Amino acid sequence: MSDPVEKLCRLARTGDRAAAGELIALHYQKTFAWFHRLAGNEHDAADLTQKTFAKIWPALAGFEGRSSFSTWLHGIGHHVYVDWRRRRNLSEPRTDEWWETCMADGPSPFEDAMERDLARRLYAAVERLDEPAREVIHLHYYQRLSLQETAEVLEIATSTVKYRLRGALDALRSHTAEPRLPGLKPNTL
Amino acid sequence: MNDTQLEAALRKAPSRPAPAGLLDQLEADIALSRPETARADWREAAPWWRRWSLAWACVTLAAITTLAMQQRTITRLREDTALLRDGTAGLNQLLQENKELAALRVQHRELESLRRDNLDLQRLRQEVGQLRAQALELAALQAENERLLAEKRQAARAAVGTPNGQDPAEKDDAWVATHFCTQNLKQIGLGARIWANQHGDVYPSDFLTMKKELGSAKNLVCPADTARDREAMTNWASVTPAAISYDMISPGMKTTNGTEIIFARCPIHGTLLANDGSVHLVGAKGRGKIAPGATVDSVTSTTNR
Repeated sequence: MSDPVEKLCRLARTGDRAAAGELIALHYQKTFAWFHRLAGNEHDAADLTQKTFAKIWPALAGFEGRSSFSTWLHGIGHHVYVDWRRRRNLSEPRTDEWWETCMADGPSPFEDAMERDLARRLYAAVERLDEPAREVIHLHYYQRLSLQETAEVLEIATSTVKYRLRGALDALRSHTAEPRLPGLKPNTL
Repeated sequence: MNDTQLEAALRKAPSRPAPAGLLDQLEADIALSRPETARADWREAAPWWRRWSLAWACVTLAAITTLAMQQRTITRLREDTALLRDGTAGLNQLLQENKELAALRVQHRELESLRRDNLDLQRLRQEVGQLRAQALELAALQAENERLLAEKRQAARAAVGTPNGQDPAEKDDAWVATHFCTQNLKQIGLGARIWANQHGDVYPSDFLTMKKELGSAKNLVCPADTARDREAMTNWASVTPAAISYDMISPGMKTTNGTEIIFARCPIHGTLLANDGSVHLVGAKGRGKIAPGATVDSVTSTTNR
């Protein structure tokens, strides 16, 4: 764990609210963005973010620093999201239009419209993957966690993470390579 | 798209910024535990004497427990000591009994040795008794043997007769042997004369040639010749010149030669056999070297016709 974050954790364990506020400021944006992609709307994403941080403070005394604070935070958030999804009885996958709206906000990292369109379809294709593959894509690529950190969050082996990523990339590649055939639904891989 | 392009595109996934107010809400929800406060409350709740009483209670309990364990250990050691003392007493008794047992074993071994010696002594006594009986029997047998020998000699002397009226009982074995030796030479002279009459009045050249005329081969062994076995001369097939006691002085001589010419002699008695069949006992002079054709007169002796 990085020294500044470790110091903030140590201070927060002693009851320093300012240190706790610093920890929130460093991680809440990334956490909200993650929940926004998973839940599909701002209201549920904010709710999930609040629940996650609410679970952080009582558990902070037991955090021994064996993993990074971000990984630990994602692990708690993953459990919060799974509980939420179980109660909501499976959320709807993000559609192309949803991704279009999401990508429309802010500057585009893509060079041209074709690349942008291809990326939008790619993100939509990710949502149509099975749950295990989608989880690893969100954590490893969207949230920029390493393979080891992704494995710790999902409480699986690193080799399993690699296997799921391999399968997901193969599926995404075949979707982006094959032309759209007449009669085939746009959301079909 | 290849994997590199896919991964690059995935990493560019858009992130929706958090709505305004969320940060404040999260900060407001911070609920940290207060470890300093808990310690201060505890200190305020329990006065010093209560806190120290717990410590003293623990120390007292530990001391009582230690004393109890020590007392238990002491009791066990005392019991062990009593057991060892009893064992030691029993050990002394065992040592004493062991000594007595060793002495008894020595006595037993000596007794066994004496018993064996006694058995040997009894056996030896029996053997001595047997040997004494055998010795008495031997003495009786020896006496009987002497008696029988005396009877035999007497009988032999009676059969021979006594010259000059001498009592036969007074003759000894040497005289008997001399008598039988003279008889042998007379038999030899008779057999040689018979053979010569059948062979041109010429005597044989050796004794074996006239064995048929001699009759028994025992006639060729002097009774006084201890170097030759007279009793073994049972058949002519086993007779060799070495088994003959007598010497043929003039082998192959004519019967018409002088009557005093010596034909044969006994080298032991010195008895001479003349051509005419007479036997002359000359003693030592007859034992010396005698040339063929010598006469009896050349060898001084007493005659015995």
